[in-house]
Amino acid sequence: MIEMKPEEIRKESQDKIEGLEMPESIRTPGRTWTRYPDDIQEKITSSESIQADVESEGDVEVFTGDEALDKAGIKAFNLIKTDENKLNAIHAANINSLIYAEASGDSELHIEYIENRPVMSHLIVRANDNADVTVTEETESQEFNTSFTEIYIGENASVEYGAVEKPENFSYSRRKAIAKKYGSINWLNGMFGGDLNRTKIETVLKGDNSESEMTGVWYPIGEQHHDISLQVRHIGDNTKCDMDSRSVVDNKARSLYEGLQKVETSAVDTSSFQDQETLMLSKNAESDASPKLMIEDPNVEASHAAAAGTVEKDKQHYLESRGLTNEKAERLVVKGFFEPVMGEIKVPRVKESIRAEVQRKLDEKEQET
Amino acid sequence: MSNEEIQKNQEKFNHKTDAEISYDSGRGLSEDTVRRISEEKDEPEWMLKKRLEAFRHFKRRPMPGWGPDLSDLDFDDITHYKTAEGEQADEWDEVPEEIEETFDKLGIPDAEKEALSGVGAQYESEVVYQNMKDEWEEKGVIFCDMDKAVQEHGDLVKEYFMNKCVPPQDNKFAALHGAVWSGGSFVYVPEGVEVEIPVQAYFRMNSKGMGQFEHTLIIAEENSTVHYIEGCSAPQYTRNNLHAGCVEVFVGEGAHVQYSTVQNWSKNTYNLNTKRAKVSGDGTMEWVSGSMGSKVTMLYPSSHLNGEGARANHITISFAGDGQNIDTGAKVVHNAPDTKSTIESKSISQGSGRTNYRGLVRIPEGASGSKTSIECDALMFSDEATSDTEPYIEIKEDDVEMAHEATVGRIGDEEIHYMQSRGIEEEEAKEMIVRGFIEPIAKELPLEYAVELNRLVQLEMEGSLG
Repeated sequence: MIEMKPEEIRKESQDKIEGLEMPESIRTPGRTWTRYPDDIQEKITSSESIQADVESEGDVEVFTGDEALDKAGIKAFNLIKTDENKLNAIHAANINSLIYAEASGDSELHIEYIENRPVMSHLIVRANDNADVTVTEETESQEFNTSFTEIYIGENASVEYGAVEKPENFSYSRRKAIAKKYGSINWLNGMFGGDLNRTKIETVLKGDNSESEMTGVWYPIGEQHHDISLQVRHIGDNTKCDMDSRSVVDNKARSLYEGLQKVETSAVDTSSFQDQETLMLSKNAESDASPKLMIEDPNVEASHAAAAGTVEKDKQHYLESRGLTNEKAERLVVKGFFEPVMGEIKVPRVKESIRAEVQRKLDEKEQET
Repeated sequence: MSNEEIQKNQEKFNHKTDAEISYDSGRGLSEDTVRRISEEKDEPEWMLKKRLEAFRHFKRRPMPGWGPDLSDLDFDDITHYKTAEGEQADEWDEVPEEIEETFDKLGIPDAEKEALSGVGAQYESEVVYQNMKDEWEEKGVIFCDMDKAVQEHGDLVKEYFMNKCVPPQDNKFAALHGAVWSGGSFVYVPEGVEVEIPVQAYFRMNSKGMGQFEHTLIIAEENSTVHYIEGCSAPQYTRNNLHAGCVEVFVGEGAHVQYSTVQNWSKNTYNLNTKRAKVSGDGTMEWVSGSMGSKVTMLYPSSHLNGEGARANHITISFAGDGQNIDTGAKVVHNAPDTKSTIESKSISQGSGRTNYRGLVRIPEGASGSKTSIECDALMFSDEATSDTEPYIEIKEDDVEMAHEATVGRIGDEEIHYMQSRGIEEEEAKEMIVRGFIEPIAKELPLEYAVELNRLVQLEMEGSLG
């Protein structure tokens, strides 16, 4: 891989856009789960660069803009390729905030965007050997956002990552981490905004004994369409992954989930779990799920589970019998539904932010009724 | 089992005879071939039209863009239609000797002796032996080969055949099937009639490079019950064989149909089937499938639950040995309220075998009160074995219950060690574990079938371990 200058990446990506397809979507007989608007290319462009609100603590160096790309060197667009699909190329050609962070020892990095313009952000994190890093990204935009994160985890390093997204219309997030031996990455993603939200998070457990927790929470309402994929590739020996996600879907919204646990031939003694649950609050809502297992090595303990359903009648009746109104009972059930996943969240500010978003969605519903 | 016995058993399953072939459509497929097949069978005009419509769709339709590798499959290298010497026989005495010999090795006459209610034994493309108990005829049950049904029950067949259930446009292999289908069974069970004893039919491929395209059409009227069993066992050959059968089932209101199959096509066969049931209110469809043989199998029985309270139960067991790719699954569409489905898939892969579960459950708007449960378990025996699980679940209704679970693992060393410590040999211990694993399907089958399934699994196991 050759290091590229910012303008080179922009130009090269711009040239690739035409020849590339939109991100792959699951197709079942007669249906394509996610379709993208035809004019998406004209819609998502950015001209002016924006400034992130960056807070850092401990042993972490943070670079922005051209300097960030320079320091990141071959690590930029190495885990996530610019030509993976059309949206990746559009993102690469239009990035308006680029950050590179290199962490050693104990450190924290918090990035926040509150904009009424498009946010097309790209974050590259390098966690050196033995580093212990917490990274959060919160994005709020009156427009759309593309949010890319590439994380390199050194030996025995651990990264806690949390992201909360609340853009107004379109949102495309692409995140990927690769872990060396004894490295660990815990993902937490809360998806709340976007008429159309496509998020794909991938972990590569390359080093022996590396591990990951992948947690997702989303809550589409109105006519929102949230298409979330979580993927893990087990390459090293004795690697572990635990995927756990929950979604609540209301009104005419759609929740789409694709989970993939891939255990490659080289991975011995893998343990891999996946769980996805959906709570459906409306007759017009839709929940589609495809939790997949691809196993190339038999020395594995792998399983997945998925469930969907509405608020259990007896639960609701019980709460109502205690004098709660129908609406209040439902609110309690929704909050309770997210709780097991919230318990796994180790980053307090992300936890608070997700609780606030859940509350906001519940309030919106109350105002309607 | 001693080695000698195993040898004998393997010979039995690899057995072929030299029956003379009376008509051969030649290799490759053209419109002319399709017309000749129809002419040979003296079919009514509507059937020829159906065949030609299917053929045109087959030509246009691309190969599926997903699933196992089919690049070695050469349609031009397959003979699409053959009949064996000899007319349809009603008595065993009339069955040609070589054919009888092959069936004997598979134990069909024994099954007959055990009072199995009807035997439709298909040798190559035509049914050569049909037998039916008198009492059924009295009840109005029709069980005959599909070609005969076209001639004698034309109106019924015309209404249902590749029309309301699996149209030729459904997929490329259904289209091919529609163009060149031959043989198979027609089962009609009138209202309220219970056909308690399994209907049995053996389908075999026995000629080099030959395809088999049998069609099975089962119509179960209101409140009737029928259990249909299909078994396959093909001799081994060097050139790629193709099997593209089609099964259409109509389950009337309150009716109960069970369709069970154990297939053991030879290891060079492409087994690409389309099987579908339409289930009316309070009806139940049960698919029980055991896939043992073939080079590549693509088999996804589907159930359309069209009436309130309809149910579907799918049980699938696959066993992929060295070089085999068994891609199976299920498709269930809940088109009515209070419909229920269960899918239970178990697979074993060993050597370089590959198993796949691919399934779709769809609950559209309006199917309130529907329930579905999907369970997939995979066992792997070797380092080269692979196993994928790919479920797709689409729910557009809030008042539903969906639960899905899947597990994958290697056969447990601990379990084997434990059993060894009790004086059980390692091979025997593995066999016992496998037998326990396939138990759910074995118990759904009549005794003889369960025995055959166990024997097939045993042969597969021995083949890899020895």
